[in-house]
Formats: sequence, C-alpha cells, structure tokens
Amino acid sequence: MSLLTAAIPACGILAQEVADSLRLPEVVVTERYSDREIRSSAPVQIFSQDQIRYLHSLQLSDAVKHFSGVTIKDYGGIGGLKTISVRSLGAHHTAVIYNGISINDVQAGQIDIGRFSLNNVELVTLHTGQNDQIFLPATAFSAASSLVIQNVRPHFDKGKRINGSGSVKAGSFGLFNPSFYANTRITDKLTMTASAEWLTSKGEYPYRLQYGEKGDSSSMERRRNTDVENLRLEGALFADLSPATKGDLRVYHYRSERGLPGATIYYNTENYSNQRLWDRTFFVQSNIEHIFSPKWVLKGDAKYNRGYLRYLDPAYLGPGGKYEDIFNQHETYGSLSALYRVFERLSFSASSDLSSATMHAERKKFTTPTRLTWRSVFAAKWVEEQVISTANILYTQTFESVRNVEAAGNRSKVSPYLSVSVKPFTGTNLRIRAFYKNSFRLPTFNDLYYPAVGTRDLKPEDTHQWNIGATYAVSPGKNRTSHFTATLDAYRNRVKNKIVAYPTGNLHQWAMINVGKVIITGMDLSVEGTITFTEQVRLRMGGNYTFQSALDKTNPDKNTYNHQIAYTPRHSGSGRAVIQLPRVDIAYTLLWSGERYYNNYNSKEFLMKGYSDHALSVSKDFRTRLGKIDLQLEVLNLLDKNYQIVRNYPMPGRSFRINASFNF
Amino acid sequence: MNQKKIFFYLTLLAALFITACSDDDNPIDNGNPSTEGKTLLILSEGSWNGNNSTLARYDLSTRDLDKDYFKSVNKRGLGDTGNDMLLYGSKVYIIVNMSSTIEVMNVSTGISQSIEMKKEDGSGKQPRRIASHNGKVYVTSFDDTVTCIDTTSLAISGSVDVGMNPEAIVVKNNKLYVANSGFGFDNTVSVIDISGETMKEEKKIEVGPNPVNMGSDSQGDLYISLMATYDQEGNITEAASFKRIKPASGEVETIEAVESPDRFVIADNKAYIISNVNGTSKIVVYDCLQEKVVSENFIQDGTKITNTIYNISADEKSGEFFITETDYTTPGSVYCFDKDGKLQYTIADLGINPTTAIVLR
Repeated sequence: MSLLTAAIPACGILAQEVADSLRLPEVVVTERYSDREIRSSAPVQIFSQDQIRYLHSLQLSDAVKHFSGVTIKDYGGIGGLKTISVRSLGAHHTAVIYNGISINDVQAGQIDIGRFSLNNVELVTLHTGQNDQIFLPATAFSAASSLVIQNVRPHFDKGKRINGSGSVKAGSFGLFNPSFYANTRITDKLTMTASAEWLTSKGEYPYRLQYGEKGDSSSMERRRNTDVENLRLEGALFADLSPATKGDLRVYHYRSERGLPGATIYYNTENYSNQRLWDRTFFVQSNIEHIFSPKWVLKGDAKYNRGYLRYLDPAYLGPGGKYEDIFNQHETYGSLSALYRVFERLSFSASSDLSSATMHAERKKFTTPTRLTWRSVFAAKWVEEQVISTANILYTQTFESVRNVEAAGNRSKVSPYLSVSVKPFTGTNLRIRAFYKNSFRLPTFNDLYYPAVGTRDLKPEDTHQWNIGATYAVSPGKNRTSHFTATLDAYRNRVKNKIVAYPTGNLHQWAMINVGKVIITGMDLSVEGTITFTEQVRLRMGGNYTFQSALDKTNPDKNTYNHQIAYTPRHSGSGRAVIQLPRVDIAYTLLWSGERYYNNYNSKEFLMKGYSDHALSVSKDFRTRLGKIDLQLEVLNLLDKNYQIVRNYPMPGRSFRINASFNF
Repeated sequence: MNQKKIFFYLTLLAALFITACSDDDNPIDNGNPSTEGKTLLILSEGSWNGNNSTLARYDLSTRDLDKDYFKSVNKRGLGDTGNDMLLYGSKVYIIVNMSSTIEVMNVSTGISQSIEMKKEDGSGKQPRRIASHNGKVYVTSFDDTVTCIDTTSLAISGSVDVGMNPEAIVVKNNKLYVANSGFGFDNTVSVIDISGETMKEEKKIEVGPNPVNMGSDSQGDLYISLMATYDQEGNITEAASFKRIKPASGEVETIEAVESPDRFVIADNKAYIISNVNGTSKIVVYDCLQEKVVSENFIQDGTKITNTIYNISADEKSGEFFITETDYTTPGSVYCFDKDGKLQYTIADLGINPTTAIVLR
C-alpha cells in the first residue's frame, strides 16, 4: 500500500503517529486515518484537524454532526445544550474521552459537547462499539460508543524550538473568539504546550416563530438571553523520561457563563427567561507509560476533576422570588494497564480503573452521594492482514454511599465484546466485519437521588449491539493519486431497563423507573473520496446516510407501542466537499434530516418537518517569512432556513464567520 | 288554583335557576336555540414548554372531532399550558399559563381575541385559573395577583395582590376566595371584596399548606383540596387533605374520610374528588349537605382508567361528567360518564394532559 502524500491529511501529524505506533507492540501497521476507518472491526469515524477546518465548525458538536449514525440534540445557539446519541441508544451511552481519559458526569450522565472547542484539536474520533486498540484504561471499554478528542501534540520541524498558532474568529451575533496555542521544546526530552481561548457571543439571532404549520400565522422574533462567555486555559507537559518511558501531565481549566433563553413560547417571547448558568471545570490528568520489553508495556493514568455548576432563575415566580442551585462534583480516578504481546499477531491487555465521584449541593440536608466504581477489563487482539479480531470482557463493580439516607444498591456486572474483520480476497481491499457489544449505563445521581423523583433501586440501563458491515477502499488510476472508501454497516440494538421518568399516579410525584424497552434497526453508509486532478487541484468529498428505526417495545397496551422514539429521524445524512485550487479552497457542507416526531406517540400533530443546513466557505493561505496565515470566510445556513432540531429551540438563520489564523 | 300551582312551580324553578346562576354565574344556561345539538370543547394543557396546548371540538351529533379546533379556526396555536377554561356569556375564556395570555373565544365562530397578561417588565404573569361574576372575569396569576377583566370591553379593569402563587378562585356572595398555594409555602385563602369599585383583600384565612383546588356548595361552604408538601429531599411533610371552610366564621375543618384528594368538581351539592392512592386514581363522591362520603368510587360500570386521572368537569344540565386521564407525555383520553357513573363514550388520544371540558348547546 502506498502512502500518498496527496491523501494524507497532515504529514507531520502522521509522522508523529507512526513514531508512536511503532513504539507500541500492539499496533503493527502504519495507517492513514481513512485506512484506520476501513480496517477497523467496529465502525470508526475520524476527522483530522485538516478536515475539521472545512467542516464549518466552531464547537465540537458542529463537527460531530457529520458523523454517520449520530443524533445531536442541539438546543440552538452557541450556549444551547448539545448532546450526542449514537445509533439511538441515548446520550448517556456515549462516552466522551478527552486525551485518553473519560469525562465523567455523575450528576446528569450526559456531556454537553457544545462546550468543547476545536481550536487545539488534532483528531475527533467516534468509535461505535469498541476501539480496536486494546491498550486502554478499562473505562474506555465501558460505553456503547465513544467520542474521542485528541489535542494537538507538539511536533517540531528540524531546528525549531517553538511553534504554535494564534487565531481569531469573529462573526454574526457578536461572536468573538480569539485563541492561541504554543508548543515549546524545553529540552530534548521535555516539551510543553500552552493553550488559551476566550469566546464571547451575544447570540441574539432572529428567527421566525411559527404559530402552527406553514400557512398559519407567524412573526419575526429575536432570541433573547443568549449571551455566552467562555474561557479555556490548558497546559500540557510531555516528557520522554527514557527511550522506554514517556509521560504527560495536563491541566485544564474552563469557565463559562451563559444565559438560558429557554423554549420560544408563543405570545411570550419578550423577557421570557432570565435564567443563567455558570459552569466551571478544572482537571489535571497524567499518563505514564513504560516499555519493559518488546512484549511488555505498562501504563498508568490518573486524574482529578472538579466541576461546579450554578443555575439561577432570578425571575422565578415561586417563594423567594428566585431559584438557585449550586452543585459541585469531585472525581478522583486512577488506572493501571498492561499490554502483553505473545507474538507478532496476538496481544493481550488488562486494565483496572478505580474512580471515586462525589456530588455536593448547596441545599439543606443534601444526600451528598459518592460512587466508587471499579472496572477491570481483559482484552485480546489478533492482527494480520486478512483477519483482525478483538475481544474483551469488562467487569464493573460500584459502591454507593450517601449521607443521611439510604444509599442505592451496589451494582456488579460483566459485559462482553467481540469483533472480527476479515479481508476475503488478497487482491481487493474489501473487508467484512461484525461486532457484538453488551454495555450499560449506570443510573445517574439525578436518577437515584433527585428529590422526590430519584429512585434508589434503579438498575443499570442495558444495551446490546449487533453490527455487520463491509468496507471497501480503492485507489484507481495509474498513479493512484485518487482514493475512495466506502463503509456500509447494518445493525440491531436493544435497550432494556431504560430509565425513564414515570408518574407514580400522584399528580405531583414522578419517579424514575426501569421500564423502557427499545429495539433499533439501522444502517449507516459512508463514502469518502479524493480525486487529484493536478498537483494543485484536488477534490475531497464525503457523505453519509443513516437509516434508523427505533421502536418503543415497552408495553403492547400502550399507545406508543411500536412507535418511533421521539427525535429520531428515519432518514438522515450529511455531505461535504472541498475543492482545493491553486489560489483558494472552497468548501461546502450539508446536514440533512428527514422528518421526525417530537413525541413518542407518532401522530401528525407531533411531526417535525425535515431540514437541511448548507454552509459554504472560502479559504486562502499566505506564506510569510514568519509563518502561514490562513483566512477563511464562512457562510453558515446559506439558504437561511428556519429550522429546529429540538422543538421550540430555533437554530440560527444565515450567518457569517471570518476566521484568521497565524501558524508559526 | 291550578294556575296558582303552576305559578308556584314556576317561581320555585326560577328561584332554583337564580341560585344556580349566582353559584356559577353562567348566563348561557338556557342554551342557544340556533345551535342544533351539543358540542364538546376540551382543553388540553400540552407539555410544559411545548407550545402544544390544544382546544378540541367534538360535535356530538355528527361525531366530528377536530383535535386542534383553536388552531384550525385562528390559524395560530393556543400556546403553552392552557390551564383553565370557562364559558361565560357567549364567550369561552381560556387561561394559557406559560404564554401568559387569556384567549377570549367567540362560542359560535371560534374566533379568538388574545389578552396579554404581562408584568411591567414585559415578562409573563402566568395566569392560572378563572372565575366570573357580574359581567367580569377574575383571573389568578402566579405573580401573586388577581386580575379583573371587563367582559364587554375585554380591558383589564383592576388588580389586587393576594398570597403567594394563587391557584383556584371561587366567587361567592360578592366575594372572591383565592387559594394561595405558594407552591407549598403559603397556607391561606384570600377573601376579596368585589362589591365596590376596586377589589380589596379583606382577610386571609389560614387553611393549611398548599391549598390548590376549591369549590362551593349551595349553603355557602367552601371546599378545598390541599396538595401534599415535600421537603428538599422529596419526603412528604404534609399529606394532601380535603377541607371545608365556613367563610363567615373562618372555621376550617378537615374531612378525614377523603384520602389523598386532588382536583374536584362540585355538582348538585356533591363533590366529585379525584383521589390518588398507591398509584391508582379514582373518584370519591362526597355529599356536601349530608357531609359524608356517599361513594368510594364514582365509576360504577367497571370502566378501567389505567393512567392518572387528571381532571373532572361537570355539565350540570345533563348531569354528565368528563373525566380526563394522562400519562403526562403522550395524548390522553376523555371519558364521558352519566351521573350514575356509567360510561357514555370515550374520545381517545385527544391531547397531552387533557383537562377541562365544557358543553355548548
């Protein structure tokens, strides 16, 4: 297989990865990102920094919308909550892994992926099922799918000691977003990265409020209380302690204040919401890895995380005239992993993680729950050109403790995973793959302990995933300068013991119960290609289509039985194209969703029309003696379509963004 | 002699009619002769923040159902969380809580005019319940006020401060009685004099925490259901209870026989009270004159309502009751029962959180 510089997203980055890969006995083949997508025994989708640049994305959630099989719940605007559900399993089943360690939210269980910036991100990867890499902390095996964010790692051209990038994004609705990162080589063995970013946006975008269907009356309104201010500071230290030992230490600080505009309520849009949210996250994490022999590698990971969340409704009409809640979360996490390579094709890994998470609230007699989670995994992997197979078994044990009241029950579970990818013909790059994964999500602290609603005896929510698919890659032409890949996967998922809020029969009291059962049948199709016309003219395209039938199978007597789960379009897809010309690059992206219901009861009054969102950009770079300057002008929602992903939370109409960055 | 007898009966009927009138202040009782047959209007709250409150119209003679009649006629949705509905004169008043509007709908055309219920800063007052008296309607709002609206000009003609987060409102003998729930933090009923030009709060009667629903009988007694209150951990601090108030003396008496009451309606001096015990709801019938529970379960024909009973409305003229049920998330159904608790008909999957029903003639 020829490594084509033409199709390689970022040469330097790739070289770095090769070097890393060679260090690890686990990985035997050097890979392009698209090759990794093709070779993987479970679906994996990757966006590199170079692709992200053309995805018209400000936030991580914008880029993730282009993955197949995902449903992003987007409440609109920069500050609006954005969660990711993969193959209709629900946001709780998607792990978000930041530089190797999971981000955990014991309170709500779902991560707002809108808060992650893309400014210093090198790779965004979505693993459906399980990563083929087995040398990972046990927690990375636990979710039904995982979204992996990898920051830019320092890499220096010969003779350089410092490099980095500074950028400014500015755009409609008062967006201003300067960011900066710099890498320095302190010594031969020690490098450092520092990154800072500030984002502010007024966000008061106009939208058309439709008081019914098309043809019914409507009015032009403006979104209010949508301001956002974020600050992110990050630092990382990378050390090559010896030829066999390397480690890193990362510090992350994020703070944000935003207005919560709420739903657009008919006849009551002016001064409807004054609610605010303050959000602070701090964590420090470290990884150390030592190669004992070509057969043995050990690594350790550790993290301490604290999260702070303050919610305020200063115009609450209830007693006190305001409503305020403050929550704090603390988490301490440690992991030890070992990789043993029996011989070139077979390796085993074992990992054990311990995490302790506590939640505090500024409320009287708050239960202050603590969860100790112990996860251990044993995994095996077989790699050769014709067959790649991985298997693992994960054991999870939790210990719950609370103040004042009775704690929820401790849980222990065993979850298996098996995957295989076969290349039946040596001459053709066609692979057939299949996986099965059993996973679960633990009840969150809200599910268990939320006043009046929480239920102590909740069981974990179980999922089973079966996937069968095929991948194909071809590089036609004499010089093989063009490259095409396609993946097609069909799947069936089952969710059991789904945790849902359920009225107890008393009007004012709800309880969380394990009642739901959902069966999901679906298909994901992705195609990607690069056509190189001349040395300077190249077209890169990609697209995907997703079919999902996610049916409620809870209770045959209920009116929602066999109905499609709310907010799940049967058909959805996305497309992207970049044409690289000698002077400029022109990029186009499309997000498309078919119609869907906003209620689990599927009747026409709950139907939401499909939508499409087109974006276009023109980019140009200049090389100067000091470095490279990139300029990009983006037009978002080009056709100015008024659409909603979550009902009553309108998305912005046509808007503009200008990005300027300087790479040195 | 015979004539005298007829006259006697006529005056008796008139007297009864007048008392009926002053009880529910409903001048349309003798029906509209031009409207053939009966029509049912059912309000559904929709889901909170869903903008999907609906007013359904069911023609009982043709069996035609329009689940979103309000929108069909007015080309705009009702809004968010329609909490209460009242027929008064030739108009139907719909209280839309989150939208902070009162929709005033012409009974014969369905065309509605919207009254904005806003505070000075432009934010919503969140109106909740309505009552009528003497050409005016009175509306409680969560901003701790009662607003008076003139039904001819549809202009706001007055406002008075009451306790916290007022819910139910009842008119009796030129006085308004307002249940101040305070979302569990108030425990009073405001008594407001409306005989003069402006409304005046005369006093507050302490009734116990979280009063929400109210009704009155022909003797002038008030009945009130108080919802349970919870501490921050969600434990019940005070169970729901059903109480009688003698407005003159301010005397409050708990009716222990009614367990876990919720909304209720009083018709023909009987209170039909939704009672939720151990996850199942039923309707208990309490006789206000005999002062005792006369039936532990109003439904007599074995009809099973599996979801939570959400509300009950009475049509005094036909003696029919409209019971709505909900699972809070998907469309619920309306059941029409006769006065003996026998099911007449059902309208299934009508709207989310169906609540008040009224009959137009």
